[in-house]
Amino acid sequence: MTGGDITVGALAVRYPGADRPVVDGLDLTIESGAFLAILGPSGCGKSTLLNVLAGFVRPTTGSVTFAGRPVTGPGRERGVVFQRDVLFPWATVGSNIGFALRAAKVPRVQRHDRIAELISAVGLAPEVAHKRPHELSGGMRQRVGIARALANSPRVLLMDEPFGALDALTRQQMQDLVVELWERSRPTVVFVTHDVDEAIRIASSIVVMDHTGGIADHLSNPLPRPRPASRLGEFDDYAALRRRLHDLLHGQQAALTSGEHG
Amino acid sequence: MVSAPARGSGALRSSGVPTAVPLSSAAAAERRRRDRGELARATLLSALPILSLVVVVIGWDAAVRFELFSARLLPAPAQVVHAAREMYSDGTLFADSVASFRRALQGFVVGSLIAIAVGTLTGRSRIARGLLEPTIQIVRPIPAIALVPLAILWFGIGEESKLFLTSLGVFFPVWVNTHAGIAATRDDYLRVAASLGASKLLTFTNVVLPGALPSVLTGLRQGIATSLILIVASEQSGVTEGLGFRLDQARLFSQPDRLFVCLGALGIVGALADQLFHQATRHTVRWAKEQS
Repeated sequence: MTGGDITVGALAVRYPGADRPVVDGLDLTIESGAFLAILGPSGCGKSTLLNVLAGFVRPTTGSVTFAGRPVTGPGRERGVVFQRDVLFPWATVGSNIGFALRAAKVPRVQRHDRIAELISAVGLAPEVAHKRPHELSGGMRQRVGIARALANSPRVLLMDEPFGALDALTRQQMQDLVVELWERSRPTVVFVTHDVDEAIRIASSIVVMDHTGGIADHLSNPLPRPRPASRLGEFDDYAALRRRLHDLLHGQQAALTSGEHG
Repeated sequence: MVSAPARGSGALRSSGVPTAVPLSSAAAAERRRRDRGELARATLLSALPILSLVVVVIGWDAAVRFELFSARLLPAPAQVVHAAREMYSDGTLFADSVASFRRALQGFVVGSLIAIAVGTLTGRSRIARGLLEPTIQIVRPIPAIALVPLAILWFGIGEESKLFLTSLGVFFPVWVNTHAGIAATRDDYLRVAASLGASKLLTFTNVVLPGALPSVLTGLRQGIATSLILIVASEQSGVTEGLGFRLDQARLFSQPDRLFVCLGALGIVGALADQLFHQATRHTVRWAKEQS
């Protein structure tokens, strides 16, 4: 275990009024610099787990620590990329990113260059800085969202199904971008998805959540990088890993559905 | 082999790029005819407001000429214009309009400032909401005009009672809209700010306030209209200047022409204030329209 690890111990989260916990008895250690994908059927508690890691939701019981310190709320060292587009519509792209820098009290004179640097890092043209969110495509908006989350160089990047609403081609481009950013500075990435191929393409290890809100399996991804989307099927271990993940997911989905009806 | 397309055929060039082709004379004539039609429609549309006013004045004049209404109740447009000239020449029209506008503005500013502060509190803090909302909700349904006697009892018939009444009337629409706008701040925006480590002040000034601004401005616009309504009601006593006072005088001395001039002035002052406010603020909330 190293200084930037995230440890989750016997975590349980039960929302007020719910008849059962969304997450229950979950133990997990995420090593510093890991790229972890969290897979699971809808309603199994993936987003809740991410919200606990982000500090948005408090555990009902159990503990979450980052770098040895308990997580008690949101923090600048844990950047979040949201499922929905959450750029401020009243501000330009530059101001959206600039907000993160202002929050970190970056001096005004340094902000302009840093914004340009971040816009370039996520593959956008410099003139995008002056546009408003509604003038951008869904993929571009998510790129800005990533730039904003990266603005203060967080040690952890928490991503909650960020590409779910994008078309297939844009999604692949965004996956490439996230992997490239991860390879460049090696933050710990926790990436929630329900897409098996997305998890296989980008993650170093994959956690499958079970229907009771715990962990069904934690697999390491043996596929070498780079992993081009068009050639994923050519990797030796791809088919076996994909089958294993699908079996796990279908099993959990069936258990979740029967639990709902039972 | 790809041969060059015939000129004007509209086919693809060998590069595969579609090209513009010259219009035939018949097509050009059709295009000109269409352009003329569109121009005529646009001119008619822009002239419609003036046209409607002209129709109203002609109808009004006809109603007086054919004695559909008594001249004591409805003066002819020419009489109203004459009265307006008189009131303009003796300075009362301008002085009354300025006096009413000044009172309305004072009430609007005081009422709006308090309403925005209280709306921010009740929109953001559950404790403030619990403490203030029941009282405000009980007072809100009381028409502000019904509070005229109370205002006079508390503050006399001077300027203070007018300021109290107008501020109170402006307070409610601005408070309701500010409260609604602030309370409707999207949770995920607040989560973004929290995850970036933004201070409460930065979150308020850069996230909560801009998000609530369209709603606040709607309240302020309603407040402008309310302030003018109430200033007329409150100027019926204790002043010797103002459109409300002049209206009351015109009623007392049976001067329908002067009464109409005051009503017209009120309409113009109200419309001007509303449009000035709208034009001055619309760019700040353009994003809300663009987003929807």
